[in-house]
Amino acid sequence: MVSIRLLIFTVVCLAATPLRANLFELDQLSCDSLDRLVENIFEADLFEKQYIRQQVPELYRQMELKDCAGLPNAMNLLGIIHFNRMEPAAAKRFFLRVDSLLKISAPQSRAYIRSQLWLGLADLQENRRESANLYFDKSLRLSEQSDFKKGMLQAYINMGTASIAQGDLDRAEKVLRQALAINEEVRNRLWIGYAYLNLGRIYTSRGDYDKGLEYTRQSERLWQELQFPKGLYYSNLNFASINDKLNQVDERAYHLRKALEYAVRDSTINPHNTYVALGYHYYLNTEELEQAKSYFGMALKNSQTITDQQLIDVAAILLEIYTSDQDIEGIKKLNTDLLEIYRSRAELARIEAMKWQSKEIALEKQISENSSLREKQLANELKLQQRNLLLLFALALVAVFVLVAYLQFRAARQRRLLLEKIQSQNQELTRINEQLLAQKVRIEEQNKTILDTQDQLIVQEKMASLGQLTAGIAHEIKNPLNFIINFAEGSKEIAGELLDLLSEQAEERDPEKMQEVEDLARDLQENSSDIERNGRKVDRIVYSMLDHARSSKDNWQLIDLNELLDENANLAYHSYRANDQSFNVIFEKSYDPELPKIKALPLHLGRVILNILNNACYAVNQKQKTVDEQYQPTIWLKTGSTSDMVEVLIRDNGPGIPDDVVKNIFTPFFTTKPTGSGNTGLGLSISYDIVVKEHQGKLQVNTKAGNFTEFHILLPLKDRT
Amino acid sequence: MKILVVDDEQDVRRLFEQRFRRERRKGEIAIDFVFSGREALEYLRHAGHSELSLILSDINMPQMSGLVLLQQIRESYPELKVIMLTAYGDENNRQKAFELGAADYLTKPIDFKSLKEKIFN
Repeated sequence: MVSIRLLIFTVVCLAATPLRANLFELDQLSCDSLDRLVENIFEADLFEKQYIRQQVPELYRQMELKDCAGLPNAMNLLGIIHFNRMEPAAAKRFFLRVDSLLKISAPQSRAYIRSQLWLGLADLQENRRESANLYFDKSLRLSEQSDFKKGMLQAYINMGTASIAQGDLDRAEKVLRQALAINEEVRNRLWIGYAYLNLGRIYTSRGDYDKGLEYTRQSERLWQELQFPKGLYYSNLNFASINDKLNQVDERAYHLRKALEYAVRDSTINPHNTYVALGYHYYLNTEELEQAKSYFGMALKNSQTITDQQLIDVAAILLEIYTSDQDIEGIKKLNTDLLEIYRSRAELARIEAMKWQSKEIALEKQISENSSLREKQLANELKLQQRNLLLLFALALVAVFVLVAYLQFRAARQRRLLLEKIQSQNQELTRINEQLLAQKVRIEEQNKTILDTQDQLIVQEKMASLGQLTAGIAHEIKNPLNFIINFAEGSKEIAGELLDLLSEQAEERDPEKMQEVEDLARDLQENSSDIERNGRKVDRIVYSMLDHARSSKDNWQLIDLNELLDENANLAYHSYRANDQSFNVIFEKSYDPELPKIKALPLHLGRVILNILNNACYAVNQKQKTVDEQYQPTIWLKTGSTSDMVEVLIRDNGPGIPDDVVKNIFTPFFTTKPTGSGNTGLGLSISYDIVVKEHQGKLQVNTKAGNFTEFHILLPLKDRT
Repeated sequence: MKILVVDDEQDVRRLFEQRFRRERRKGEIAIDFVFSGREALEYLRHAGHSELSLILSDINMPQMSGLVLLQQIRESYPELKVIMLTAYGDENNRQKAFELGAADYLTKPIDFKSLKEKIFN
């Protein structure tokens, strides 16, 4: 019965939390930003902050709406909220959803590891230690595999908590020390605080109170730096338990009071037991009854998650105090308080409470009799016996049940009004925090834009200086080169003429000498041909360098990638064919007619496409020379777009790129083509810079040796200036 | 037939003399050489231009560029044909040369075979 009431109580509380988060404009954020936001919440352990907790349901809703990649991470956040409310079953439902979503596809992702860590913690909450340990072992292994240090840290700390729960203090100490070692690298104050706290507990249970104190102080220091009330609550409870062992009565009370100061700052802490402990302290140790009453009273007020038995225990001790103090007002107040508690419990189990109405009339009569009897007893007797106390308490409880039925509807309304007021105050306070967080996200985005622009400028400068350099050198080379070519050509002609002359007068000369002269002239002719041919080769290189220099100045403009691709395909084909008449290739074109135009640098992008196509032509031509006639050289050209990218795909059925080469293809001056083929080894490295740094796109290669090579050029659709 | 070659490179003289040797020996062609735009204008003023059939001029020369020379020749001797020769086949210069009235625009290294065709046809 009680657990059903508690469950309904929880559901009502959930419904009352602010689901509309108008202050943070989460609906304005892109998936990227939302994903980053959630990741940041984990990285900075912000899920422990009240204002973040309030935003989580809306954050989750937005991410679900937009189908963001980081949704599992947000599920983890929802789970953690339930975990903090001591609702392990509900928490596990979320973590298990993450588990089933990522188990196959991304078992080493942070989101998955987190789900395992928290599944273990939720199991601990339910006292399922075996299962918890399995989860922690698994999360440790996965964290190690993906080098996720913070995951390892959390896994060790959680193992420590589990080992303490099992009473295996030696193992607990061992794993916590491993956590400390990892913390040397990650420096996470929030989690390592738990390691120190638990080490403090371990040494306290072993009777080494000095060490227990020392470790607990470490945790206190870290959590004070973080302003982490829940942790400081635990630290002070540790101190109090050490004080208890050392019989330091006043110090213990001091630390319990301190713990309570922190407890009120975090709604997920349930300080009921602490209030009870302080109540007993003042009742038994110092006999300050007013204080004792006040703390037991607070214990009653913080009784939402405790059992009826605990509640009755507190009520009984209070009744005892009031009675011995002859405090009739106090008893009345206790009655009202108990009534309030049961009303709120019962109100949430409204349907159940309705059943009680039938018993109402019968009970009413009994109550009036019983209360008059009780008042008489109080007036007449100075000291009540234990029997009387119990009777009185029973009567109080009966009164509670009846009044519940009367007051439930009115109280529900009041409670709703109160909740709304608290919510609006809460929102007011959290607004500033939320704005700061949003500002942080905005600054991070601006920072990224600045870095991107910097990269872009570097590429442009590189291109420009390369252009200037080549232009300068090329001009100097070009002039003498022209003479080399023209004079070699001339010498070739002259040698030809010489041979003609010699053959005309052949009969008049000594045939042996004649042969020698002819051979010499022929050698001269061949040498000149060689000089000319090589000169022309240099001329082509110089030409392409000058061409590159000219294209280094380019302007951003809206371009049609289909056109650019097609133009360059023609250019590549014809320029390749100009050098090798036997060359042939089939172009399989599949252009997306709906392809959106993008802002780009047309000359630079054209250069990228031409580079890749030249390589493709070279590749299929090489393959054709080595395989049989069945082979049909083919190059596929394809364009397409997604919501935020346009894609150009260039694929050839050439010999592919071997593994040891593919990792170098974007390295400057790396080339596999023979020297002297007019190739600088800069083509793909410049292409990479142009696509990735200048256009903020992606250049990917996919190849299978002996089969094919495929380049993907992905360019962002967003408007650039 | 007489042609004038304008180029700041001295080697051009030997190149042309060699490559047109046969035509020169047969008396089909005579070639004069000057090495700047200014010398070219002086040549036209003193040696005259009436027997000159063609001027071949480089573009990239110190002091006076071939394009400036072309402009001045077209103004003073509009009937004279001028063919431009350049090491850089860039589109700007080509367009400018034709706008100024060049008869043709050839790139270096010179293709003498086609140059001869152009001269003798």
